[in-house]
Amino acid sequence: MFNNKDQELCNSDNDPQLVQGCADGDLVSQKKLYEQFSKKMMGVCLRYADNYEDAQDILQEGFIKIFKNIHSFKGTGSLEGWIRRIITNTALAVYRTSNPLRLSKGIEELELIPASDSNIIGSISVKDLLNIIRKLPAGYRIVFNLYAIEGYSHKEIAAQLNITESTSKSQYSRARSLLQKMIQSEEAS
Amino acid sequence: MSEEKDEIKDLFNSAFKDFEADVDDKVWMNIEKELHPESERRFVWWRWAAAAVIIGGISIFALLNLPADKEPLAEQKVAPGEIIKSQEDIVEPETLQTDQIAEGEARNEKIEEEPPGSQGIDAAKEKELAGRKEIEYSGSSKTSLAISSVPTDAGNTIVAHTPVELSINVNESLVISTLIDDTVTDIAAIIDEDTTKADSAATLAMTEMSVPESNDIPIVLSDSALTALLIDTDMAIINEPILLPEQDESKWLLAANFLSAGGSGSIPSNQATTESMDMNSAPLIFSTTFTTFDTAGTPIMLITQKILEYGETRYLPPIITSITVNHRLSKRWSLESGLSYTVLLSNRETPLFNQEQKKQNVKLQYLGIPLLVNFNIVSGKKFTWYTSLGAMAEKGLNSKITTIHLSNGETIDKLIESNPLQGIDVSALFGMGLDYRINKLLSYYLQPGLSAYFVTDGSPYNPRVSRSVWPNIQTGLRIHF
Repeated sequence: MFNNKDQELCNSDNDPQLVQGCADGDLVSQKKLYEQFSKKMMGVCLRYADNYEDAQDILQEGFIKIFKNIHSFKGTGSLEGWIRRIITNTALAVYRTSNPLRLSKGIEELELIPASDSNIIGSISVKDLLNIIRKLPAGYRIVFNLYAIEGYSHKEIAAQLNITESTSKSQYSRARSLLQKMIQSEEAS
Repeated sequence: MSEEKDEIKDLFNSAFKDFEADVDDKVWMNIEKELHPESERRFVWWRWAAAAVIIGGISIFALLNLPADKEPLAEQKVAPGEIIKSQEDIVEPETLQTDQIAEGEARNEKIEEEPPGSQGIDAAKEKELAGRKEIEYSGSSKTSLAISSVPTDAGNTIVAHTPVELSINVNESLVISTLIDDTVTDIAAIIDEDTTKADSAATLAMTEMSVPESNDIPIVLSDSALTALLIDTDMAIINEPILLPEQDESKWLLAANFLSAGGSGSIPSNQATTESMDMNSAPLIFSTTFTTFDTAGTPIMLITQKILEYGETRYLPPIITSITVNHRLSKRWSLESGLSYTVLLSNRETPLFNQEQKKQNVKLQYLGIPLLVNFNIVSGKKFTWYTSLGAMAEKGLNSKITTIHLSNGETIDKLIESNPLQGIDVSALFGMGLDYRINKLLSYYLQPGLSAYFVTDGSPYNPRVSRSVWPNIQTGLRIHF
């Protein structure tokens, strides 16, 4: 699986020696890699998780996968993109296994809410945006994250979540509408 | 996609593009444990080994550096009057047993070799008295006075003021006798006031002598001669000096009892000795009574005292047992308070002399409230290595002094004195310990450390008065919440 986000990332963050050290199981290299990417990946996890603790669980599981599979990283793409993809997949896997009904229900049953015509004006903090995105139903949140922030295509999302491409599109549209309303509400308050 | 849709996407995309969030250290610890379970175990093992070495080292250092008081604890407690019985109590050799006499003979060979006091006894009287094993008193003129022999440049000086209670005794004796206007008028004193050097030819006679306030009556002796102080209402006079058996290292207390010529009873032909010991918590005191004779064959009883002082007081590590509640403030810091019970144990003993010995054990108990701040150095699933700093206020509960008198290794007397402890001690506490987590709520800990006392009750029982810093061992249960 390859996405736009990966393409945008250059290979300048790749450190072959570091990657090789991690592949060799060197603890110092592993810790260095972890320190380099853990905070950024935690930001990713927070967008998928319901709370901070769940986000840390995803991060922990994701990095264990990263270190166990880093030998498969060939260095042709961005290391950060590769790591981000594993973290994202881990988040999806966690939600798939821990609450599959919730994910399915969120995607299939929620009604479409038309988006407002008004523009989004003004500034809003990242923390507020994080809180807003967390208010979305899990299904909406995942599709929105994958499409709007991670840069996945609807086709890729459909394949990941085992839904149709049109469903992905509609879910994204609904998520977007909800977010727009919540942002307006936030700004009004 | 409309522009509005793009606007939402762009908004979130730009907002979260470089979004970062802090992560707990435990995430990496868990990852490390998952990836390197063996190295993690080894690492933890070394950490705990380091903790054990440090804590063990502190404990051993504390144990080896426990202070020892040269001024024994209980010494301060015992009133002088209790230390030594009155001379009258000691000088009651109503009956001299055969074995005691025999023992005395063996112990006083020097006297037998050169007994000037017995030189004046004629053979007939000696024969008559030979075999008598008892000496009986019926005369009422017996009084006593204690004196000690103190080496000086000029010879031996006899001073009659040690110890205090003997001086009191002397005073009483003097007062009862004949003290008039601070002047001893009819005491058969001993030396001529002008003859302060009493050699073998000295005539010891005095009819009037001032009694110094300190009750000191100095007498300078020639090398081996000792003039006995005799106090007798019958104005008896001894014309010959009496040899004092040489016993180094002893504190000599000489009480001379003069049996007036009119005293009835029988006397042994040889010097007889007997020994007795006090039975209280005071130092071990051997009183040796022996009899000798002046040139006229008058029996004179001499009593020597050998005081065996207690040695250094040895202190056991103060043990502080507590039940505390521990409130976690953060990952590493916690606050702790509760109830502590402290026991201070110490012991001391006299030297072994003639198979006799006294041992003394002191136990002091306190109840305290600590307030501590703990810092976790290393935390594991079951064990935590931590350091602790705080303060404690302690209320003294009780002191118990047990004195055991041993003879030939067997206890022949046991005295227990118990007294309440007054006042409050306040101290600063420092320690480093291991905490074993029994369950989520409870843990057990062992923590060697130091206590610095800056307020004490000031009682003579309290060893914290003599020094402020003490090693200790803290142990107990923690309730976590």
